[in-house]
Amino acid sequence: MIADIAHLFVISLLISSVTFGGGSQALFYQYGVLQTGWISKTDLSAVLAFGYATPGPAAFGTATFIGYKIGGIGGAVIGTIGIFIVPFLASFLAGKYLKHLLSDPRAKHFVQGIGLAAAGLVAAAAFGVITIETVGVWHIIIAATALVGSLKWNVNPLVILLAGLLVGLILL
Amino acid sequence: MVTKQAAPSNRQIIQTFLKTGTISFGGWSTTAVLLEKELGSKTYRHNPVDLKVSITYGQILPGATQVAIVSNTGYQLKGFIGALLATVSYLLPAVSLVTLFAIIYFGYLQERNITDHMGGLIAALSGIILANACRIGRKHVTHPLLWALIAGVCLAQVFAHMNALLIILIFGAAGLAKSAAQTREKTV
Repeated sequence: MIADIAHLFVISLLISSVTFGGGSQALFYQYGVLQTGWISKTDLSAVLAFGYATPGPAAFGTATFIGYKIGGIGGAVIGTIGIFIVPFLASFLAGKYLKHLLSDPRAKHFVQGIGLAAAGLVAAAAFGVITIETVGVWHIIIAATALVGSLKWNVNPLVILLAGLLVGLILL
Repeated sequence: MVTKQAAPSNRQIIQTFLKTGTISFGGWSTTAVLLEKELGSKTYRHNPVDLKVSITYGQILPGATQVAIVSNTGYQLKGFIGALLATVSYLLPAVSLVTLFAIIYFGYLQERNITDHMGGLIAALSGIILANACRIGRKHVTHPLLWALIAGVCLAQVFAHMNALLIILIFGAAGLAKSAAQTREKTV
């Protein structure tokens, strides 16, 4: 168990270190589901849905969730520290020592490159969370409505998820 | 960082960021709006915090954008202790909720296969995640052809299960190479 928690800590640090504005869902899918089998695809969908419906960083709570699965409350704490210590320290250290980063064109281009990859990976994660055996027409309609509602009208994710749940219970 | 005399108390920082963390639904922009409102209140009238700087750091630094914004805002208010208190207070509600969810989920819900009845919710979730992908894309795409690149990454991940970390590192390196090429052009 301790080895698993240490492994989760390292993976959380890694995910946090390479995520610039998105893409953590895909990395949790890769490391938490495919490579280690700590959680299933269904578990990941559940925690992501919960993350979007609650305040704070949506996808990063997955580290806490996996930590709890592996090692109870202690594991959850370690997973949480692993995933949040990087932006905390980076922001603090940048504010103190690296003010020139704000105007460095290399930082801008680096983040733009990673941003493009993150957009593709997050889109892939959208397909990755589909755990339903048979995807029917209604699933596609619900997903498309959620996409438009979120993108065009900025509808609160909690409202979208509850509406999706309700429509799914009635129609599927 | 603000002067020592004008720095807010630890309690004020905890209250402000705990409140923000409790009601901050829907991404970093909500957090920024809420913080702007809080920092404009009477409590912080003597504490000039440049939220734009925090937001910029949030965009260019690794990890959760909200955490970088909150941490830097806390740092501007009261140095390291401000950053630490702000981050912990902001994250406390979300982390407590997800831990509670994990306890309930792994204790009761997982065995009952409740997700079998959540087809609609999962479909809606994939729509929300796809919307996020579009938002991230909009922010970084400077030429329409780059959308094809994003689609390529998506397909490579879905069908070929390419290593996500490798993709990220390749794109980051490509960004740095582009920056170096532009610098060379300017020099010539």
